[in-house]
Amino acid sequence: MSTPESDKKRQQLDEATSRRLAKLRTAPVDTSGLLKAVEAQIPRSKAHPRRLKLTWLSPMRAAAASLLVLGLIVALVINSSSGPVLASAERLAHIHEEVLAAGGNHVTPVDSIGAANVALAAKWPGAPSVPELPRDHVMSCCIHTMGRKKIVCVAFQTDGVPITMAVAQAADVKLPASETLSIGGVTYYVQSRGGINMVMTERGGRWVCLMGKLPVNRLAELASSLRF
Amino acid sequence: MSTELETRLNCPQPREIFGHRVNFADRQTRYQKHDGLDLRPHENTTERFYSCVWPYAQMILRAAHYLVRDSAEADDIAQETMIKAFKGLSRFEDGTNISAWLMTILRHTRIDHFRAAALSAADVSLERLGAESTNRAIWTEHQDEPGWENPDELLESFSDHHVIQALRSLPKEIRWTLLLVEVEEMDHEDAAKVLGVPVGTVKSRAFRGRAMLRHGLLSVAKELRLAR
Repeated sequence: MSTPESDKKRQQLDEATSRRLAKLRTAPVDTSGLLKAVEAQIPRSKAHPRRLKLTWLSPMRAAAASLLVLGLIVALVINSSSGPVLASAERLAHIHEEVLAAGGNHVTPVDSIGAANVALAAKWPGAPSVPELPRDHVMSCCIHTMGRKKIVCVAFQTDGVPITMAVAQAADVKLPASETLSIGGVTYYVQSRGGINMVMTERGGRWVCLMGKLPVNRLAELASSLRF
Repeated sequence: MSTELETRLNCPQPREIFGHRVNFADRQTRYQKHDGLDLRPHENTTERFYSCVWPYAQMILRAAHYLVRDSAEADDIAQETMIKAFKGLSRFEDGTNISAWLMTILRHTRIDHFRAAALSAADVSLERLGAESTNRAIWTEHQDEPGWENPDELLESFSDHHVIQALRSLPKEIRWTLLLVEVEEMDHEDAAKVLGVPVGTVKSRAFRGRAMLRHGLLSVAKELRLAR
């Protein structure tokens, strides 16, 4: 006979079983063989870049072009080797708005974090992996820039509110000198701008920020439930 | 800027895929619209396939391997599913759930493989095998489920291999249900559409499936002396 106690026990068992089964989804799957087989039947269209005709270049123009290229390389090296970028509230609020509006960035629609990680890795092989969310409606992902650093963003919905999760290598981001709160021994940095709340932390070598128009406590709760 | 959120993917809606009727007509009512995200169709089918469908290759390959013991056959089924998805992509309409659509193709591809092996579709129907009643008996017998005092701890002590083996040992319809609802965390409505059964059936199968999986795992635990 069913009793409240046995019902509770069964519910706990069911929840534990669900958690264990959901973990199977995080196991890596090697799709290289499948990709090879599929590409053999569906060849990717390859761009055929036109061969540059350099014969018209005068020696002076060639020298100027070389200097320009050299300058660009130097600028690139200086930029890429510079220190971490500050995760300021202004920057993050701007990113959140851009992610939701897809302004200027190519957004890939996805419906899970797993799919987002695959799509992001295809575009940026060094992309930091996005931690798993509990059951939320994942919508899209994209690669963004914060200052000079590349970050990945995933848009999803919690409690009917659009949320952006931004993830970067921890070494690329400097945490703000803002208020903090601690959950389970983990420190979360909190800031707000224009009604957008932001909760960020560093875990597993990654910087992660959740932002949106949810209360800070709810965002922090979400952040603490991420599976790294 | 609109604060509403976007649909999952602009890959269009399948009406009929390789003779299998699929109806996701209510998808657009379930997923809210966002004016901002750029989900316009891609320029050509190949590009669209690799950007819209390929990110789900891991999901398809994983599912095929969880459903089919023979590794080579699982690879074939996954490959066939992706090719069928490519061929069906041009007939799409906006607003479908891509993972549910792909899972539907995978399911029918799997059934086609059974048919090719001279088994009728009825052979893979749980109801016609009378397995529903058998499974209910198994579940009823183990309602009390002794040996699960610390469910999370015990479940974590199993390797993925053990969990997958236990999953594979379940009747196909139960296995499919757990795969969709628990492993891929698909909602019950989408899973019901993939499986072509009412939502209530999905819920009851998931409930029984979890109990049956635990029953199978408990036997393994006893063999491995993980449980009393």
